[in-house]
Amino acid sequence: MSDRIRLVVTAIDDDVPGIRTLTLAAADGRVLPDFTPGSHVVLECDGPANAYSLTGDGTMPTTYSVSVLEVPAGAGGSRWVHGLAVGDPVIALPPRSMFAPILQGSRHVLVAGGIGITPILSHLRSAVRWGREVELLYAYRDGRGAHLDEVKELAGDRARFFTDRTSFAESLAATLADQPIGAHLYTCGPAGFMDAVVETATALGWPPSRIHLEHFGVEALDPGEPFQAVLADGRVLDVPSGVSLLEALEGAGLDVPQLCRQGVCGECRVTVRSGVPLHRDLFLSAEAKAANDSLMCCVSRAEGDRLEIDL
Amino acid sequence: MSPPIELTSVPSWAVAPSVPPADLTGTTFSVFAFGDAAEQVVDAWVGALAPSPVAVHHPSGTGAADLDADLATARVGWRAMLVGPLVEVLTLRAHALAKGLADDEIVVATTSTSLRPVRCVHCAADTVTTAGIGETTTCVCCGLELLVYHHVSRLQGVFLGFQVDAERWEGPT
Repeated sequence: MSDRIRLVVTAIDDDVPGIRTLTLAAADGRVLPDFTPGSHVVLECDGPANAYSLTGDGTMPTTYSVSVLEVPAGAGGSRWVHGLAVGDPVIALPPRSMFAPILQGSRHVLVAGGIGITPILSHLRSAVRWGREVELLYAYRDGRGAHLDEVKELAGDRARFFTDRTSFAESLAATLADQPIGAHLYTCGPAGFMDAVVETATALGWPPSRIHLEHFGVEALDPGEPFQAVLADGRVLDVPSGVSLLEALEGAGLDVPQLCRQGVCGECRVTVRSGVPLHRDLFLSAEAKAANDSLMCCVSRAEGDRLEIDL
Repeated sequence: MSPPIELTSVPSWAVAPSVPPADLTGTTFSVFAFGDAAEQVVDAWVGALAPSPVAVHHPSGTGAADLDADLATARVGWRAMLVGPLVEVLTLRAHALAKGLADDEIVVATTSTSLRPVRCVHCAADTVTTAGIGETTTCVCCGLELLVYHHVSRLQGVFLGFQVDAERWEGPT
């Protein structure tokens, strides 16, 4: 397990309704670990840990900044953030990157939906700082646009803003239809938003290697079918509908590494000895899923009625 | 002894002639065809891609100049499709990769794999040989007997070759 970073809340910005921007500094005042643009930190909230994108450019940071949309019906992480006060301690794991800019790219097209602006803002800052060619399309609900002023100041006329779906969809298609061959596309937003962006890009011939996604939210998963998990020592665990494999393993006294419990962080990967997993996570690559030799036990289940795992 | 070829950097089309279908996910296409045997493949690809326009090149040299000319105006959605004998397609693929094209923007078909280019690690010369992977060939430049290793450099477009008995000390005893 990585070393935890002790942080303290140094500023809170609640200007945009429903979105709270936290500025965090090291409790001992030191410079924080550098991070790759598009990185996130896992904050230890009450309940399951949550991952939040860092909005800075990542070079010699003295503060980390995250912007969190309050989700009243969520698992509790966003409500916890919205309950913090200046001076409160926060424990974070070091930044991790799953959404890095492709530095060889000749051009970087950034597409943000709603609070998905957070890792995109990090990319934008880095691109501006290092002189990479960049353009940004930012779609948000009127009155709910986070970081609008910063984006305008950083990007100038390289950023375009949309509050209605039709003009966004038209501009997106026109933009993606006319990019030089070395361009890369980066998108973050709600799952349906990113699906639409990927669909538009794919229809215009964009190959997967030029499309980069950062998932920040997990749609509610169905409770799933019951199945049995067979452990390495021969024990058979029942995993009823509505109970995750991770919960069943913990119930049996196994200590499984885990953080986010929502199929994002990659900690709870379990090796599959036999049986076919039903993959529902956002962590494993398409190839890794197709290999069917491991699964993320917090969200994924069994395709059949039995799964033999190496635990 | 070589490991299974799919676990190495050697593409399957570099081991035996192989013709993948046209990449229908693209929007614009250029085909670079080497040799008479490629014509059948060109026809099949152009037919499969219709009615999309396809620029077909029959380069007299490596094809690098033709590829660069198309690349200069290409937009994302473009696919480069290469067909011909192994030596020619490996060379042009290396150039395309060096220019920033991604693997999923390049389709490679081989009409023949009987000749392969081998880079000598000792003198850096390339030898074109009929020797297969795990066999040996003589370097055209320095004369060392080279083992054709199960590695293809993507950016050099050659197999790796090194002195087969390099580990045997033959100096003064």
